Amino acid sequence: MSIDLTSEDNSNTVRKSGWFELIRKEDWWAVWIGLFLVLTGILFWTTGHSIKVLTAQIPRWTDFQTLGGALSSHAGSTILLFVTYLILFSITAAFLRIKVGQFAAGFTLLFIISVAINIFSSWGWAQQYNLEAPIVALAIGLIAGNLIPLSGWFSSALRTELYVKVGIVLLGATLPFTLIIQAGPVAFLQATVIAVITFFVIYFAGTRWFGLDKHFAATLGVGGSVCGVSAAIAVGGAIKAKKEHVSISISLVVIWAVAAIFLLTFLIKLLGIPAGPAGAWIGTSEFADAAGVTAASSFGDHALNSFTLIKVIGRDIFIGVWAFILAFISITFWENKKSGTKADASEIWHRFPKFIIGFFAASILLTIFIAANSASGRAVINTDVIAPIKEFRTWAFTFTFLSIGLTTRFKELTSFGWRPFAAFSTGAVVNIILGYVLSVLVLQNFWASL
Amino acid sequence: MKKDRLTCDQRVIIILTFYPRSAQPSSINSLNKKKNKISIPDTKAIKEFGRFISERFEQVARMIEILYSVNDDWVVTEKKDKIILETSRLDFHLAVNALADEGFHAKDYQLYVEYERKWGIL
Repeated sequence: MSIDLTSEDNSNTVRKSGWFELIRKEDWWAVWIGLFLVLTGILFWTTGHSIKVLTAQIPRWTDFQTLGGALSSHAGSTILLFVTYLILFSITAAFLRIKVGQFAAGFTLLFIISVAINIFSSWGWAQQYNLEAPIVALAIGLIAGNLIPLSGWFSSALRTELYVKVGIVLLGATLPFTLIIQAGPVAFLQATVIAVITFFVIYFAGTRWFGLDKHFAATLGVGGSVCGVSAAIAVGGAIKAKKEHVSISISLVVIWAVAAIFLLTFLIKLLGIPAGPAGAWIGTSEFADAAGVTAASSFGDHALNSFTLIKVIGRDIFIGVWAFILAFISITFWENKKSGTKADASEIWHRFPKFIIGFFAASILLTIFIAANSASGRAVINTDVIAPIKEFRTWAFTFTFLSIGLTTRFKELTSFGWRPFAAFSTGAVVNIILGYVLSVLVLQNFWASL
Repeated sequence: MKKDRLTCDQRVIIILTFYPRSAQPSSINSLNKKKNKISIPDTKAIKEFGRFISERFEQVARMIEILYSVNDDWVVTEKKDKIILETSRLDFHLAVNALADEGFHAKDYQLYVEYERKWGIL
């Protein structure tokens, strides 16, 4: 006689909401918004129109008369751009359970500040001193966010992660899929070599030199090597690190990420590094997507492309793999035997940054669309579809730069002792040096010719 | 920066399965292995299974009592084969230690810990 007891082991079902995630997760909304804009661009083109009418690029100006003329001629498209983004982001806010009225009011103010920053950075005087929009937006945001208390309604519109993910999905539409296939393996190898070395430097410095707990050192290690805060929270949960340790890891990532924006931008300009290798270096050595986009945007499209290839394809995709491997190591070798879970391979998909699906989909879509048209058609697609998508992307990134500055409040981060700071900083310095060696010395020609 | 400022939220999920495979008596096998065979019912095994089930439900009830003694803010989901308790108000170490103090260990429950960045974190 035997009795069937096989209905167990369907564990881990609570956190997964299945198809519901498609409308409840910020990552998926970045995919929907990005693909909607790309498909709208294609649809407009096929009906003989262009989404250029929805975008606004402020030209270089040197006197107020020129500026006034430019603003009046772009007023209609600026309003259309605002309305388009307001509708798309407000729908997203509703599904993410953010108060839509407050969000809309906050986004309106964010858009107005973004326009002001674009006007300033298009000024001939500002360009003369390399005061590009990303750095200006970040600096203004940091000063305002740390000195002036911001209202809740405005804060609800400061969605750094949403804006940067929408921008990255749109960036996919401007990168031919053939280029991703061609450069992807090199990006993966470069990112993996440096991520693994950086992880072990932080881990061993933390555990051997500075006496940190293994779980803490591992959480710090992935935060400094794989993908900043996203990796720290993924691995922190998977290996059951202490809450205070995850919190300190996040604080260190945020401080280093903001510092690295200024440091890398300064070093790249000082050393006169070309855009392609510069983007690859930023992609290798920045700690967060939004911070990396801010730094890379100062060096143009070429830098953004190589940054994205390294950061998104080489690093972000593998958050889940790192979480799974470290969970296995933690349970097998470090576990205190009190907690009862197994390393779960489904972690790899659960932690996968879903907006990357939108990035690939947008790239494939545009690559097929371009390939299906004649040479003359491709030139028109470039100006009527791809150029406006780049404009949408630029604005999404401007919202990102401002949001980073306005939400990074140093006094609200968790304080930490010198030991975790020393362990993390050891890895960060090694990472920046290795990033320079591989991107600028070893693979300069590859990234420059991309 | 402040020491008590946390940059993340922690969510604790504890799953109490009614039939944990690790706690199953070795004499109880899956029907899947023998479902096509005709055999005489083994009343001794049925009684043994009854005792196991009774004991396991006692354990589950006791673990719930212990968990509620350290935190009364749980979201509870009942499924046909398990009870799931979730909270963001309790550090998971407190739950693990409270259960361990009463003799419950890794094999008796499943623990998942999720972290989420707080608003505004890059």
